[in-house]
Amino acid sequence: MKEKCRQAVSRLTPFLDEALPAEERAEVARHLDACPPCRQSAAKEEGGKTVLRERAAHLPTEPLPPGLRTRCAAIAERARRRALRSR
Amino acid sequence: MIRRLPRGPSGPVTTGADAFADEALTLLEPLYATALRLTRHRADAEDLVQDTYVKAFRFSERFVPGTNLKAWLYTILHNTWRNRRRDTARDTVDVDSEVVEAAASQPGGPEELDTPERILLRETLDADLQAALDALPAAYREAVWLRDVEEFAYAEIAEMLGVPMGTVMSRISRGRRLLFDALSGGMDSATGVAHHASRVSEVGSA
Ligand SMILES: [Zn+2]
Repeated sequence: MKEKCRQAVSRLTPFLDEALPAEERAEVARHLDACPPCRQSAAKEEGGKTVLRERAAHLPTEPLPPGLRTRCAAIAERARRRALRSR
Repeated sequence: MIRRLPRGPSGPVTTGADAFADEALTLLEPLYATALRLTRHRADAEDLVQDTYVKAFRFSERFVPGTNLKAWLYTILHNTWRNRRRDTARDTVDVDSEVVEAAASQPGGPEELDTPERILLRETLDADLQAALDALPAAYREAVWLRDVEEFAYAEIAEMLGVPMGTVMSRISRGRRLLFDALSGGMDSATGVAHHASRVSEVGSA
């Protein structure tokens, strides 16, 4: 992989997440315009990101196991009593 | 969606510790979901969550009020998980090895290059997405999930996973691309990489 490409690919994620400073952002955009393979990588990454972001909410979630909330609340309560005693 | 537990009586009895406990308990669902994603077993996930709460309350004075409690708890959970695995696992796949990186960076076949993400989005079934996620190497799955679903900052994810920010970004990048490849069909590259990686690590540790 060419050095220019390596640099662009290493910044794809913050580029797509709009987390790059303007100057670097422009640099990556220029490279993508000029380089089909990197543009392709960017399109794939964007695609994976979009699907996950828009679909994750529909994925089924496991309900909490019975009793877990009670046990964790008990852990909190023990900690609270310990804190009161040591005051 | 998230039920808050009833607060104690206000006044002198209510402390910062009560607020900490209340908020920590509202985060039980996402913590359990994360534990399940990591352990892939209900009993182990439950164990991991309880361990996380024990540690969180033991060290609660280290939490800086006003900062992100969810990120803080996630960090404890991930640290606890890593320590456990360090104790037990010898089948760990080195996801940052050159081989996996190279495999994940390869451009896909030309047939899927022009697949518009909108088509992908329309045609992807929830079950397909779940299967594609399950097939990702664990480190990629977790990085991508923390970023795109939980929307943590790179720095927060770096803290949770105990790796540099650059590694976080490259895992997110590759995870997203592998997900795309797996969903756009054909090469099944997510599983291909997973198999390749474990083969390599077996050879490496032999
Ligand atoms: Zn390039």
